[in-house]
Amino acid sequence: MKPALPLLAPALLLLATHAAAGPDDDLLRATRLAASCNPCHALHDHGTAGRKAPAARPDSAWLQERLLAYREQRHPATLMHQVAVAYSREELELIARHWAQSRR
Amino acid sequence: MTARRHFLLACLAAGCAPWVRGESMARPHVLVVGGGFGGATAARFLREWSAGAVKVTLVERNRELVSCPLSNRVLSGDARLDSLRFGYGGLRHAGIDVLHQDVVALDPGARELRLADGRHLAGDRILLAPGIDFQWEAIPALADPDRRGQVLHAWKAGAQTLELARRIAALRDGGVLAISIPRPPFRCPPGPYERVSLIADYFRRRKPRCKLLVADANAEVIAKPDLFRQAWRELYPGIVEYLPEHGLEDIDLARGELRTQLGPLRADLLNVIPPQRAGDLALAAGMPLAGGAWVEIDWLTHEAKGLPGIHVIGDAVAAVPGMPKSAHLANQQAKRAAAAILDMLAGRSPQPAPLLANTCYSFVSADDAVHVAAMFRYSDATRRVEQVAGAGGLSVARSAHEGRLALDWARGLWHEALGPPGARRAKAGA
Ligand code: HEC
Repeated sequence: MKPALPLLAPALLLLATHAAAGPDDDLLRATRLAASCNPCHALHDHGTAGRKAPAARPDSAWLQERLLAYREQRHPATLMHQVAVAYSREELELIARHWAQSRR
Repeated sequence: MTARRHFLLACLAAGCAPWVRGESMARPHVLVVGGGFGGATAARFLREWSAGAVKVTLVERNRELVSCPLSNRVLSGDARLDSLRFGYGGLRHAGIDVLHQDVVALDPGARELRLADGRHLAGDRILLAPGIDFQWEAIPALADPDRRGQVLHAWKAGAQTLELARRIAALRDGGVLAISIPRPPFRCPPGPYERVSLIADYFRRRKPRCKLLVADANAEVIAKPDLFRQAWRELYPGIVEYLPEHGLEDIDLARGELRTQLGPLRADLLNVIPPQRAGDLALAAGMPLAGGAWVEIDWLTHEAKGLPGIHVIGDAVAAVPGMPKSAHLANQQAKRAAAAILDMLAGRSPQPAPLLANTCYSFVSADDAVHVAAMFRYSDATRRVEQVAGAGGLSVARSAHEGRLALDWARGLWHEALGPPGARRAKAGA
């Protein structure tokens, strides 16, 4: 059985995202780039591995600063610094904006 | 292609979802064969990223996925196999047609599959996730399929995992277990050493006079050597005996002996991890195989070399230098292949994410884990994926903190492949 609602729901969600960001290549690029951050972050809407998501939505400035800190080995981590260094600054900024917009 | 279908696909690739009420359109159809971590994740992302505009059929022989990640913990009594068994309800819920059938023939030209029940399926594109099978011909004593059950590999989680756990539990205190490790490439390079560590921890706690002989075909532990060696030295002195360059030549089933390059090893219980190659499906489909074993692909589209429209992901792929065969990389390849397929269905040039991450967490005791990470990036210049120099790395030390992260990482893999916990539950008694 294919329930109609769960099928439609992602469509509506995408339409909503689309209205906010424009159906441009940036959205597509951001969605796909951010998917490389999972599975580690698949469970945690706010990108927190091994911890519960914070109650407040992290804004894109906070995310950008944290990701760049990992990239530049300025923030203590077991693993995240080893991952972040493979992305360009521009890629991390794109992902941070995307996360802040699309995650509730 | 009709103009309307073209519009649908162009829109789909742009990330928007046309939903034209009351109009029926011929939806593009992707056939996915193999419902492991690669295939199941690809099927789900094909649906999610097309907002249901692409029809997806998954053909998988088994009714359940049994997670290899964490399955070594079953051997040491630290996890129950039931906690690693999952159903495909989450995929059905996402609108994917799941067929539990064997594929008996694949026609790459016509992009058609024939199933064991006689059905034919045709798709616009086919994605294969064949996983691995074993090179039994390398072990003469096990060439006859009827004899294979006598020596367990437990390298595909499931019935063999349970049986090996049972035999380990039945071993008398003072008994000897020998594990044979092949040369790479094989699925999950740190897996054998994690297995050694967890069983050693079980012996330490429950049967301290037991011994573990590690007959490795390699000259040194091939993944995270310092972290594993340190754990064995500090936690299991006198229990683990590591024997490099002890490649397996044959098995003496009657005497319970491994015949290795450097002489025979007798043990009360044998666990032989055989050498590996791409899954039978890849061989049956006449794929181009590197070294007769692994499928050569185009790293932009994930299509098999010379077979347009046939995409291949996961352990079966001929990896680039530094790239292991892991559930994590199957997950990453699944999403790149899904993106490329959606672009190509829409008539656009494929633009999957350039980056792939890999992490393998391994337990070195019941609670403590370590990780190895590596990053890969697609290069337009070489048209291949290459390991990113200066990225990735190892744990500084084993820790219970990383043990918790390891459990989380596995849950993330399950979630992306099979959906949320409620939806992925295996049927009781199945
Ligand atoms: C291999 C697993 C893995 C991958 C891939 C990964 N992360 Fe992480 N991430 C972690 C872990 C583990 C932590 C916790 C810090 C640590 O110990 O490294 C973390 C922490 C974070 C944090 C801080 C969370 C907090 O609340 O403090 C953010 C933000 C984050 N990651 C974002 C990302 C983004 C964006 C990507 C992709 C570019 C990504 N991660 C890829 C494992 C991963």
